[in-house]
Formats: sequence, C-alpha cells, structure tokens
Amino acid sequence: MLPRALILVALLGATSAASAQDSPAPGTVEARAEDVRERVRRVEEGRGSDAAEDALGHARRALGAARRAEGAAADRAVSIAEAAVTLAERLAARARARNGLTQAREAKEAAMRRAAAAREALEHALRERARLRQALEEAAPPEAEE
Amino acid sequence: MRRVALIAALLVGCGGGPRPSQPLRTRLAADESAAARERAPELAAQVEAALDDADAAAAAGSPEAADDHLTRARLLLEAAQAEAARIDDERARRAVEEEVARIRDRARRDERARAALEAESARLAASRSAREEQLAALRMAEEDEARGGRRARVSMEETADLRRAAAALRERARLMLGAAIALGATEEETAEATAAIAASEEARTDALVALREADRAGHLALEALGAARSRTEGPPEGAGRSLVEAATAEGFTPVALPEGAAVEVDGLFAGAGVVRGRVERVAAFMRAHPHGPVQVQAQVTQAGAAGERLAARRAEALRRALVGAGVSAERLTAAAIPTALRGDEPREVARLVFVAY
Repeated sequence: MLPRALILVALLGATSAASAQDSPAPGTVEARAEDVRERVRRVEEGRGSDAAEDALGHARRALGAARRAEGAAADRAVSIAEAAVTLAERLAARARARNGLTQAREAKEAAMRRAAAAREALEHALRERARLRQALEEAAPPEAEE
Repeated sequence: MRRVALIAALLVGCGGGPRPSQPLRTRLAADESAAARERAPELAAQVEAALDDADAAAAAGSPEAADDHLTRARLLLEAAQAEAARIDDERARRAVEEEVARIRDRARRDERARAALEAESARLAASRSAREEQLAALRMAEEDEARGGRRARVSMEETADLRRAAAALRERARLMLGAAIALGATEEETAEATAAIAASEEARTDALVALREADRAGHLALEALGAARSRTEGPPEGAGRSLVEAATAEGFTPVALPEGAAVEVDGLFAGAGVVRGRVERVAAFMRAHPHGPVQVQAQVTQAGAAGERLAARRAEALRRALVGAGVSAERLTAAAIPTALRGDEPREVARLVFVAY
C-alpha cells in the first residue's frame, strides 16, 4: 500500500514540474520575450499599425537577438524589444489620435458648411419675411380704406 | 582587467571623459522633449534609467552593453515623444469636437429659426393673398359699378325678362305715340319719342340699354300726348269718370291706360269678322262719348305672328263695322294689341281706347 502512495505522489510532482516548464517563470527573459511577442501581435492586429511598422520590426529583430544570445546580452536584447514595442504602441496610438483629429477637422468643415448654409437660409428667410411684411403693409386693408 | 575597469570607472566618476549618454541626455533636456517630459514622465524616467545603465556599462568597460542601453533609451525617448504627440492630438481632437458641437448647435438654432420664419412668411403670404383677393374683388365691384352695376350681374334669365319688358314698353310707347298723333301732335313733338323707340330696337344685344331707351320713349310719347291734349278741346271735367260708369253699366270692362281711358268688350268677334248686334251697342257707347280719337284694338289667344295678323284683321273689321254703325271714320284707328302687351293670359277681346279721356 505504501509504495503505491509514493508512486502517486511522485507522478503528481512530475506533472507539476512539466507544467511549470511550459510557461516561463515571471520576470525571466523567456517570460518577458513572450510578453513582448504578445504586445507585438496586438499592435499588428490593431489600428495604426502602419505607423508602427519600423518599431515593430525593431522589436522582432531584438527578440531574435534575445533568442540567440544568453545571459546579460539576452536580457539587454529583450529590454530593447520591450522599448521597441512600447514605441510601436505609442506610435500606433498616436496614429489613431491623428486619424481622430483629422476626422474631427473634417466634421468641423462639414459642420461649418452646414452652419453657413443654415445662416444663409436664415438671412434669406429674414429678408423674405421683411419683404412680405412690407408688401402686406403697402396693400392697405379694405377696412382701412373705408 | 579589473584594474582597467576600475580606472575607467574612476575616470567617469571624476568626470574624466565624455559619457556616452550625453547626446541623448541633451536631447531629453531640450525643448523638443519638454512635452515628452511633461506628458509622459514615466517613459522619461525610463529613458534616464536606460541612460544611467549605458553610462554604467561604459564605465564598466562594456561598450556593447552601453550601446544596447543607449538604443533602449533612444527608443523610449521616441516613445515618450510619440506619447506626448498623441496626447496633444487627443486634446486637439476634443477641442475640435467641442467646436463642432457648438457649430452644430448654432446651425440647428439657425435652422429652427429659419423654419419658424418660413412658417410666419407662409402665414404672411396667405394673408397677403387673401387681402389681394379682397382688393381684387373690390376693384371688380367698383368696375361693375362704373359699368352700371346690375348689368354685369344679370343672368341670362334676367336678360330675357329685360328684353320682354323693353318690347312691352316700346309697344306701349307706340300706342301713346299713336294716340298723340291722333290728337294732332306734330312730327316735331313725336320725333324724339320715335327716335327713342328706334334706339331701343337697335340695342338688341344690350337688354338694359333697350329697356332704358324704351322707358325713355314711353315718357317722351306721354309728353307728346300731353302736349296734343293741351291743345285739343277735351271732354268736360268728370267725363272720364262717367265713361267708366257707363262702360260698367253696359257690361264692358273699363281699363285705365297711359294713352287714355279704355273699354274692353267681349264677344264682338266671330272668326275674322264681328258680331253685328254687339257692334251697335259699342257704337252707341262711342257716340255717347264723342270727344277725341278712339283706337280700336283687338287681341286673340293665338300666339305668334299669325295671332298678330288675326288681331290686326279683327281690329280693322271692327273699325269698319263701327263706321258702318255711324261712328266718324276720322275718329277711328285700328291696331292689334301687341303681343308684348297681351299679358300672361290673353283673351279674345276688343279694346276701345278713348285717348282724349
């Protein structure tokens, strides 16, 4: 009975060890590289990625260098990849903001055209009302003529 | 090796050589990065940390590591600048959007005001149109009045009535004119009435003018008759009343006409001829009232021109019969009662008009 229990505990310990090996420990070079790869993927799939193409390429190259390097060099390469993907994220965000600004300016142009048309129509309506009032006053009422 | 690194560290620490981070530090401190420092302070701090790492690596004699840290610092500085630019763009976008909202509000206000104005203008236009219609109606009424008011408004039926009335007035004028001539009215005295009768007949297309001229002809004929009577020695005063009483006593029907006192007698005609016995009584009645001319008239129930011809033949037959019964021929004239004067219910009757009475 006892040997069976020991075997079971040993098997559970081996499974846990295998699971731990599948996902790198937080803070390690591998974990940071994985995080960078995920961020790169998100930037690539999001809007504004065109503006971040160079920075994304830099991040990919740094990740490649990190894979090839070891020790401190790998750590520095991942740090560069992190900085590059940060830049890519900011550039993409800035591109989205720029696009939003452009759209807002276009909306402003359209609104100004509409406002100008509305003002012109309003002034025309004012002139028309004034003309009608004058015409009505000039056409003396029959009662007043009597 | 350790000694070299130590010397380098000392040199750097004592400011003995240029630090590799200096260009980026200068860039980070420059105005171009002021927005980045202010709006992305976390990234700016990371830049400074990377630059410190670069200096430390250089001091430690690891230029390759220093280059890596400098690369990281440069990337982070660009990220900080991009972040600052993003924030600026976002702020600008919000400002523009607020401005757009204000512009749209103003446009909507203007559009509402315009709609209200157009509605008011439509009411004004409708009011003006109604007023113009009123004025046009007034103008038309004034023009109608200037043309003679009723004329423009008479209907076709009224026009026919007017024509019938004009014809009756003309015939009455003719009879009065005949009486005046019988009493000795001159041509000059009757000329104006004759002209008015002619004018009435010529004005066939304008019933009102025909009526007015016929009416005028009647008045003129009456004046001519009055003028002729004034020159003639007429019957004594009260003779007219006695004529009426005598006619009633004989069974005749007295009728007051403009051209004189008339007596209507039934049963005088048989076909185109006359009943002799009745003629004698009429002749005696005429002899009893000897003043002035007498118009012998006849009326038949037959309509149209044939009726008029028959009436004229009967009137002439009666005139001859009365002459044969002893009445002076000079005193008598014969005529059919015009169709226009027959009334709604024409009768077979003879009428003697004593124009002097």
